[in-house]
Amino acid sequence: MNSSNLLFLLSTTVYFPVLAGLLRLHRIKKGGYQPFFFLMLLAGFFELVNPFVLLVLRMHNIVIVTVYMLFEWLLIAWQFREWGFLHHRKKLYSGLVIFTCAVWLVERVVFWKLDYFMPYFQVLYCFLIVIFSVNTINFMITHDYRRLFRNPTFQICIAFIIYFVYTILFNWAYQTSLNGKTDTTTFIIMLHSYVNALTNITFAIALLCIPPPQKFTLQ
Amino acid sequence: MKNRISLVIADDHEIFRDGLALMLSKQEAVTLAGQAGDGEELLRLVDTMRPDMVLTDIKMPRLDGIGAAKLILKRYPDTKIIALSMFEEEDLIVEMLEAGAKGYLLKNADKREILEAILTVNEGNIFYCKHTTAHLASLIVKSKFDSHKKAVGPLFTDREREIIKLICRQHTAQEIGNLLFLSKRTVEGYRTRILEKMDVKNTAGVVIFALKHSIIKEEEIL
Amino acid sequence: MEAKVLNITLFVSLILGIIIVYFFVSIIRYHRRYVKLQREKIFAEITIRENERKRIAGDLHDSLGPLLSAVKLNISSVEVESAADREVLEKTGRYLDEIIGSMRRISHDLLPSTLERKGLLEAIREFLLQVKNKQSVNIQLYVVKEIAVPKEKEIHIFRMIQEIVHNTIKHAHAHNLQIGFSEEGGHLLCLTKDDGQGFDKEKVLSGSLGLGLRSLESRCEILNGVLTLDSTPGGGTNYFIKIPVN
Repeated sequence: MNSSNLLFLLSTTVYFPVLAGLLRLHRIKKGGYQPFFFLMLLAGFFELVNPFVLLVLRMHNIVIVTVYMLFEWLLIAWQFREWGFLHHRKKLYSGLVIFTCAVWLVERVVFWKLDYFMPYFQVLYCFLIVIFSVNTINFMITHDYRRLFRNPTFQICIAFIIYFVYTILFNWAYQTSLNGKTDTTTFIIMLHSYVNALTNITFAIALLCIPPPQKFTLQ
Repeated sequence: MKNRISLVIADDHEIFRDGLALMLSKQEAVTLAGQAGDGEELLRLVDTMRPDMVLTDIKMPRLDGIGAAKLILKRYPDTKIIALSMFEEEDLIVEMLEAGAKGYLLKNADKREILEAILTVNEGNIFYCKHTTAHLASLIVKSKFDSHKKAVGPLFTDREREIIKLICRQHTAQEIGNLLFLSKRTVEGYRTRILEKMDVKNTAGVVIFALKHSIIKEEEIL
Repeated sequence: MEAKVLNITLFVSLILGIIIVYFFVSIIRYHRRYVKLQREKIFAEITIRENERKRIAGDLHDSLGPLLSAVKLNISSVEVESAADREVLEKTGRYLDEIIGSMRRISHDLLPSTLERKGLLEAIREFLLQVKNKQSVNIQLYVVKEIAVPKEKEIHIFRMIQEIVHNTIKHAHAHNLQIGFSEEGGHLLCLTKDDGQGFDKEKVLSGSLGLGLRSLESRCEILNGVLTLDSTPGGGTNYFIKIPVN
């Protein structure tokens, strides 16, 4: 099968977590994983809209992608809030979210004419998500969590770390390749789809691993 | 005919005090002149009634037995004081003796022993409760308390020393007889002679005397 | 253009470096917080237990003690005619003596009053004296330097010595046990040495010896001290304890 078919197949993996989530709707609601599930829905929706814009409307998809990135960031930040992250330092949390949105706005306004992506917002929010995830998994490792690897939060955070670190790398490759493609940059850019697929599968597993709600919990 | 001994008792545990008062009130040899619930009350009672003897608990609120004893003996040095003690107070008993008490009783003494203590101390002798532990005995010996009237220890024969050691180790007369190949009656005879020579009334007195005069060492009986 | 590529590369490397450093820093911080929490938990447990013991010993002494003495007194006051009855009363009196003796022992085991009245070293000396005649190990106490220990730490150090002595008697089959106390730079040092059969640290952690060892470690921790255990099978056992007592 040729590469574009392969890429297409890989991109369908985005629907796995959507399906998994639909199966676990009740647990998602009770477990506080709604933002994450909305993110999956958004990703699924994006996978439909993106090729439509590219192939049918033959427009640049920059606007769509950047808007998608903003929502990705907001939903993930909301999910971390649900997980109790920076619970006691609300000001810091709000500050970070507002700051990143401001960067997005500035980037949009300043660079709106461009037909290629600027890395600032993307690298920033990838970096923040990785930091948040590292924090969360370190917390879980050092406290008495039973069956860590079956814990959906843990799995999701590991997936975040892998995916968003890779995305930072991807940004480097993309920016570098604007000045001339090399084998390395092409490789990294190509590998991105695989990493994306792997992440989607992990997300699906995580959603399936959400435990049924406990009657009485001190969470 | 002897006069009745006038007696004041002090104890902060009402139940025990009542029982003691009741028991003493039935005795012909003593008159109960009053009861106190703490050291200060005891002092007031002694000031008012001027008793011959005081039976006092050691741990009491407001003013404890030791403080009360010192004050009483300063004002009325002829008063004879007997300390009453529960368990776990061994070093306090020693402090009472150093403060001037002439004897002590553990509170689980029976009627006979209490009377014996009163009569012994009334005659001017020192009384050691028969429930004295070896540990308490060694504490007494090590303290500043002068445990015996006689300044110089009398001499004992070797046989007597052997028997003293066995008495200190809590052997009965029968057991001592078995160990030394003597009859029980012979042993009892020795024992009486030993008690007389030492001028003590019971085994506790023997132990203390023996420790004090190095007839036996602490490690041998503990 | 080369410069731009270099800039971007440097920038991305910096970001990745920060992430890695942050990973390690945050895991260490969380771990420390966790350990502190655990230590506070253990401290609370041990303190509650000691308070309970104190309360029980006090109750025995104040509530049961006088009642028993009063009972004994009353029984001995009863006048009876027949010799058989007198015999019964005497026997009852002796039982009461035994009860009081047991209570004294229990109360003493729970909380020796000497500890409060005369301090740690006296209490240890008394404890060793009592232990000496019940079994065959020869125990010697050396005090190189008398040092003052804060009141709230005394009971824990006392319990640790109790635990070590019991371990030696029960498990080590030793002939001699030496306990030495000294002071250095604001720290209490305690070294114990026995010539028993020793044990293998790894294997012992389950079972009653292991339980005792763990409680030793816990107590040492809450005193902010350090416990070093040195033992080899056939080579005796040494404990070394160092506790700040400023």
